Amino acid sequence: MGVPFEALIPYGIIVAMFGVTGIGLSATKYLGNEGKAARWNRDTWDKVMMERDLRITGTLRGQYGGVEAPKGFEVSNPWKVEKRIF
Amino acid sequence: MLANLISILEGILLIVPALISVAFVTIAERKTMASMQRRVGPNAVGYYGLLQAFADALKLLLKEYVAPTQANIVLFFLGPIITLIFSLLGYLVVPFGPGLFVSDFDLGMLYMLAVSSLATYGILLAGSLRSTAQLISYELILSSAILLVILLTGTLNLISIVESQRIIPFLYPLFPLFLVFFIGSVAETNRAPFDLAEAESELVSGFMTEHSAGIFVFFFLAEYASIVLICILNSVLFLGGYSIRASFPRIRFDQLMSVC
Repeated sequence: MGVPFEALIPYGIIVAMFGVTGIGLSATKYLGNEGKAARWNRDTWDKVMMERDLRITGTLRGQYGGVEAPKGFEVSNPWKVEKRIF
Repeated sequence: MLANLISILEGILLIVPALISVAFVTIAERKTMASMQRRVGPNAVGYYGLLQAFADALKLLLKEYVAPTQANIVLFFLGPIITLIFSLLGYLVVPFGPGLFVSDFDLGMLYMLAVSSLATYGILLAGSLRSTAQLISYELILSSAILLVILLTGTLNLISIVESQRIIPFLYPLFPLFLVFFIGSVAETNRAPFDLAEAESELVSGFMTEHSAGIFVFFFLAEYASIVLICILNSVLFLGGYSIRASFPRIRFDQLMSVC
């Protein structure tokens, strides 16, 4: 007697639940990334570039085509504009 | 505001299916064991007994709480809650697909190990030195096996570990290590033949014998949540995680011809 098919149904549901999480996360990532796929497997260089995009355009996924940095770029570094406690 | 809503939504999307799959792991285990022992297993509640776990949970939640008179009530109730919370926290860094994660944490593996170690405190609070000794001992084996994978990949990030297995899953080059890790996982999750902490024939239900009703559900969920989590870890470390679908390298044509 082999494994009856009804013993395999719960395994199918478990796999389906992982699918639910995956599809749901895919939807939320698109929602949170301005309609683009989430960036993944980022190295330090990617993170620095995203930080730069945030400073230039205001969002992590923003793009800017100008040859010169927009006004205010030089002071948009959080380390420079943070309020000193002492 | 939108970012906060998305974070909450991601949390729900992670925890709810995880808990549902944990419920179905219990059914899967019971049905599989039943088929191996020529029984039908649970087959009365829902289609083919699929809703048995929910019926069990409902029954336990409606039962009366009983605590030993000499027990420290706060710690007695805190133990199962700590175990469940730390078992579920491990899911935070699990990669579900390329770019599909709740937290792309650079120290993901370290976080997962730390959280699973903290879950041991819940069992310690429940009063089981036997189970704690077992969990701590086998955690060393698991950590050593994981360290070798980290040495190969050079990263603690789970997504990077999966990505470094695009060409060949670590199962092949590290097969002996996989066996060690697998045995360690069975011991870590208190499954037979390492179920000494529970030892049904001698200790009834082990350290959770005195726990009843809702807090027993917490212990039960925590146990199966850690089983699912360690299965995910097995998959991520040795089977290529989500990239298992199409990870065969294509050989050159002359190599193909030289095979025949």
